[in-house]
Amino acid sequence: MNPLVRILGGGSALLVDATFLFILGISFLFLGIITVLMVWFVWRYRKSRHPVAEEVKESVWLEVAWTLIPTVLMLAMFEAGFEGFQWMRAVPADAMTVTVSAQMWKWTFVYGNGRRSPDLVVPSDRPIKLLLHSTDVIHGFYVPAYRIKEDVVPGRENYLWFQPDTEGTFEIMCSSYCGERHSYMRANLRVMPGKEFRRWYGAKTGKRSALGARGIMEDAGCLVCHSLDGSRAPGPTLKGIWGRRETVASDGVEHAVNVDEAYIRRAIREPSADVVKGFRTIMPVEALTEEELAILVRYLRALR
Amino acid sequence: MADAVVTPAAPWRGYLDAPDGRRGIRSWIFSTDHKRIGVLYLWSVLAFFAVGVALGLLMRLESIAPGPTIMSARAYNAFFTLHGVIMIFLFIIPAVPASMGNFFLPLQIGARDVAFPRLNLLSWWVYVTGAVLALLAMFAGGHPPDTGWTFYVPYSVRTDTNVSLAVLAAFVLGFSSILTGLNFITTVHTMRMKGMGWFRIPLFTWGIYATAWVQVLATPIIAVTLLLVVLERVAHLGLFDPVRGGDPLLFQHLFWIYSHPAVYIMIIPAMGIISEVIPAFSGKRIYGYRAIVYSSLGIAFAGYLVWGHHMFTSGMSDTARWIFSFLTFIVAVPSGVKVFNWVATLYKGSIDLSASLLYALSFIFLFSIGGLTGLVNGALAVNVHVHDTYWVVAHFHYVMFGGTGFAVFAGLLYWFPKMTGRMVPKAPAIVAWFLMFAGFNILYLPMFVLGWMGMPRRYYDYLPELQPLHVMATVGSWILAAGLVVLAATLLRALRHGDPAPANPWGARGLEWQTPSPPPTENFEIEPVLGDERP
Repeated sequence: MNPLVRILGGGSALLVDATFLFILGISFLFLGIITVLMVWFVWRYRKSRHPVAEEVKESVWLEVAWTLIPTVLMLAMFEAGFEGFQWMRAVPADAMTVTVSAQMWKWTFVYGNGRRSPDLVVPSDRPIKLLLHSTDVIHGFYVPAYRIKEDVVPGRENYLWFQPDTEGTFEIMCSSYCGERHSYMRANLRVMPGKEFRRWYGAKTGKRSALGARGIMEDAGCLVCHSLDGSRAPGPTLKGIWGRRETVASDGVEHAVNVDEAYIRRAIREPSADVVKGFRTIMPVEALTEEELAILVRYLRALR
Repeated sequence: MADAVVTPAAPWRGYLDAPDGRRGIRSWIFSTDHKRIGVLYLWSVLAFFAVGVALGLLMRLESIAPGPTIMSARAYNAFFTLHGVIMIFLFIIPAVPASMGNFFLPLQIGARDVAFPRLNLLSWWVYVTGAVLALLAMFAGGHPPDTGWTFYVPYSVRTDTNVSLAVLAAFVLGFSSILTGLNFITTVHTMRMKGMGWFRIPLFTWGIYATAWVQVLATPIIAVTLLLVVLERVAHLGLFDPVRGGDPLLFQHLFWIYSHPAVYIMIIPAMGIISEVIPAFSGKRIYGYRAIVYSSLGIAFAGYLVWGHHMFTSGMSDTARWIFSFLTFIVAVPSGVKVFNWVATLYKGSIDLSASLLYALSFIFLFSIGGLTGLVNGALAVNVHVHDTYWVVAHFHYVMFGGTGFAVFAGLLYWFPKMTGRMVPKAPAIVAWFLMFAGFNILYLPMFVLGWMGMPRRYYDYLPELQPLHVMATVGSWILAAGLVVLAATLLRALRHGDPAPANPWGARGLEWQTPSPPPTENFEIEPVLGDERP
């Protein structure tokens, strides 16, 4: 048992920090000994002061000592890390489960009642278990404030848990490189009092179509890659898209198209069917209702 | 005037005069002399080091402020990928074995050449082929690769950048590494001079020998893995991509089964250099010769068993995680043993604080920081927080640059007189050391703090509150670069104008110091004498 961890107990942050300080302390001690001896020997036995080197008889005991003592310390450090890790992997039975869905370059959090949110909203009075899913490449779910991280790997379900304790808003980041907008793949962790959370959780969320075109695009993640103001992004800008002449590749064959309603609908339903020249086939399929599609088409027609 | 006609004796140029009188580039690129091949490799790896440094400086400049500064996100992603690929496959893996190893391994064991001189030349040509492929991946149409040097699937299978070409380059470079390793193993086994038993072999040669086994046994695994990535991209094989029923973690295992031992390919030869330089400038034998030999072999062996510590947050089973964590702590012990023996060697020595020794002592300091911060990464609970952050970036730069990089400079300054027949002036080399040591720490120390504060690596943009530490790191990169320029200028100048070097300017013990500087083509004019003591 590692006493440090036991005394401090508590959340993952304390656990990680205590182990960190334990290892850092030993490290500083060793670095100090090595550096001081090295500098002192170089000074004390410099050629001008000590012109003739003396051969020193080797001591087996010395070799054994500086092999065994570090080995024991290594085992202690391993044990500290292992104890903490076991705690971090043992999910309490009363944890609330939230599914994390990662895609280039957006996080979506899905709750038990089907509620979806771009931020991770949690109550401060319950442990939270996160099930990690990716729809495309490997991402990394990372909350520095809680010292938790796990890769989000397509094709498998990884998990994490943590005990929210401090109310407030914290950064969620992608820690595993996932392409052009990796460093922008962020979200907020919002820890709120249990009562407030339950109100948020139970609140009726209206239909997405009620959000308007901008709201739909925000929610579906379109704006991660498509700008509305003509600026450069991983996808073509939507500004002035209506009637624009684009060169697209369909199954590797290039041809020109005029952007009209049929093209826009197809580009959303089957993103990889016609890929605009100079851009990559990375757009995911987002299920939009007919109502939402109609709103988007109307909006894009007017976006000059 | 009764002048006697005196023909001034031409200055001794040793192997630098080709035996058949050929001159120019052809006498180098087709030479089978291990010394010439070593020099060829040295120029090649240093050229790519310069390219890698330039890429690194530009990345640092981009990160001096949040948001776009001098390049786009795509360019930044290509930059860190190429920086990694170049520094690892084109610089640091061949840096010591293929250049200084090639030059000094045969000399240290009293041999005339390596066992397979033509294979040796072939390995350089294979290296050049791989380097050309890597350059093509950068510049030939399309987009340069943007996957990071680790080529993680499924991203590397899906991106439309020149990943196939870059992967092919790494594949080809692997063969060059295998050929070099094979050659050195055979040479050490069959060509040691009479009377040189295993425990009389100099420690640098021991390091190169232990490394050679890793090169031969581990490299084929990465070759196969990289080939499978190309097949996955071209033929949609479905080994790694979950959409086709593959497993991304399988790739990571295969990748690190090579790439972790590769870390020891990078560091063991560097440790070999330190084990030569410290006793030479202490005027005595190394302390704990056998302990250092066994620790080299121990590291080379145990290094195969710890690859999983690169995957602590990958979703690998919890059992695998603690086993790999345990083994990681065990492999730290032999490195510590080496450090203690080096420091003990200084005790009661007669220490000549040369530029070479300054680099070697800096190696001990910086490598210790790199190694000790590695313990933080190795502890499971803490790894969760620091994994994939700047903490790790700082850690491996302390090991690879502060360690191997500084050892390369220590070795260059130590052996420069032997390789070129010229001495390096001391003062400018010490100025270069000071700039590099200061710049290095100003560059990489803040990265530990950044990582601990939660700054993930491979980030084009970052939170504004982290800017002060980024500015500090960028300024450090300029100081470090200034040191590199001073060192390069000093060495290039010494190449032409340095004082002629005696056979043994440092009073060192190895057999390479018993032959003139530079050595003749056949290495020794008279049989070297093996002292009756171990190195």
